Amino acid sequence: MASPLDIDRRWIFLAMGLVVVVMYALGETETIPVSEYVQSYFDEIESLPEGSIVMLSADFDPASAAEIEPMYIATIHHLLRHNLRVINVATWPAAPPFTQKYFSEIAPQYGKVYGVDWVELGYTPGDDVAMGLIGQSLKSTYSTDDRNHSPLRDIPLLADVSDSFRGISLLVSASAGYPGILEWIAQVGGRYQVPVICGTTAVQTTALFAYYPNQLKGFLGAFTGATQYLQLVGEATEAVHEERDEDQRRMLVQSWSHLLIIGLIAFGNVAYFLGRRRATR
Amino acid sequence: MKREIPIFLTVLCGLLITISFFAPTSNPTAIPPVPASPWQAVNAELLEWAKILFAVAFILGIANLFRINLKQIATRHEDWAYKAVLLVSMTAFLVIGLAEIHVKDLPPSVLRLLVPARTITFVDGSSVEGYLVERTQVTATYRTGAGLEPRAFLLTEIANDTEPTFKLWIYNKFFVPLQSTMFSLLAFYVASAAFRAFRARSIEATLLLVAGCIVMLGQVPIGDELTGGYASRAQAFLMTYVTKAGLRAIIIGATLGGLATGLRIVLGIERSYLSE
Repeated sequence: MASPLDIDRRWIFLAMGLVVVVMYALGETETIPVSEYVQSYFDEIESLPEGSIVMLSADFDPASAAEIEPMYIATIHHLLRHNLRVINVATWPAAPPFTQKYFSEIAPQYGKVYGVDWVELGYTPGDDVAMGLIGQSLKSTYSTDDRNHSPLRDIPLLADVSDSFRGISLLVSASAGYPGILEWIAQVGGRYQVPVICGTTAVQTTALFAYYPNQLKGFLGAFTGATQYLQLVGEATEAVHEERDEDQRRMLVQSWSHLLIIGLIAFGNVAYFLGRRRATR
Repeated sequence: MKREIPIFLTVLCGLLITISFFAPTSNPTAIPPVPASPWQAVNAELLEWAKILFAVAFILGIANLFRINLKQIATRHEDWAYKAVLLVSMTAFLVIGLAEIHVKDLPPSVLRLLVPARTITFVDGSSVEGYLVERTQVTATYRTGAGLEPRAFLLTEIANDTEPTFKLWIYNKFFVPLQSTMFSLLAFYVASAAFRAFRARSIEATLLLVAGCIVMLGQVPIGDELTGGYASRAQAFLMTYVTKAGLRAIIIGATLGGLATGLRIVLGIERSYLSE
């Protein structure tokens, strides 16, 4: 008799596909409790005085956009709504188009002016070496901005920034791996005593607990963290309600996908032990 | 000399970078202002060199990719068609990307061929097509007209400036969906792998399995609904105490190991990077 463990894996793929499609179709929005780490991320931004300068680093690419994009959008809304000025950099080459797209969509909603309220410096090669350079001297790392190719001396926002990360009050990383948040902490956070927060993918989240709350002031762990953060930002920002509702709907999909995987693990183990007992007899 | 010069350079650069970590950083806003330390200038210079080397590695990578794939195309390897697609796509993207960077310098015919023009709409309703060369706080300079001559416009005159770049079109229509699809397949493979490989064969494997299930349950709202709130509490306990303690031990251990290896390299004792 064939063991249940020999099941064709396409049945498992089908089960997962059905769970995703059906749960998304049935999906209802439901508020989920906010974790301490997400609250700290939110509070760190809220505690900054208006006009402070924040560096937002896009350390991701389209592969991880499903997890990172919602928190990235929410963070841009949060920073601009709170009247913070944003310097955007990227350490992953495929990240800048996301930045241009979202700032172009979101900044006009808050009446923000490019070069005064935010600036996009784009990608610079060098991974953690580039991060070290940005920390040491932003203006010698980049010669022009990414959007208009203007010399940095012509960008008013950067007049308030000097070497050794002076003038920048917070570093936010949207991180999907290497180079990302762990390198920012090592190269800039610790060295220049700048508070650091981040949003990450699920696989990277576990590594962050060791750095919280000292080297890392708060973090958004994967899609769940993003949804919790959108709920917090959504309290004062109507513009993110659609994204928040969509994420809450997706949480239902994630819930049932996790249950399916746990069920498969349990089923696999029961079948394994039953098969072993039968073989022993 | 073949050995001595690389060792000398390694020792010198390692020491300079290490010293700069402890040297004071400049602070123009302090009273009195703290000037930039010469060690920081040396550090910045070395990092700049490292960044250039990193960029050069991209070129080497591209050259290597061409070398390997062209050889396989020439020998009609079983996947030669995919390799041809890779090289054609990479070259096309590279040419278009480089053309967009060099809008200022390219001859008009080449520029028109490779880069889609922007549509600049003015406040009076008229519009022209052109290529952005530079934008300051007051003006934007475009190459416009038949000869694509540079011409500056006041920003107050411009109502809208759309940028239909071909590079971005490829990025949005091909790159983003392809990468997202690859990543989303993980859900299916993880489910299949969990079913086949997650077995409670030993105490360690059982601990891993139970911890994994608790974290998965605690991560989603349904976990708490099914367990009366215990799933997220158990997950928080695992992550806050067990994982944090274990990770910190690993990080501190690995860092001390890295420090020892770094010291050995800087002092010229460790020479494995020279293939010795």
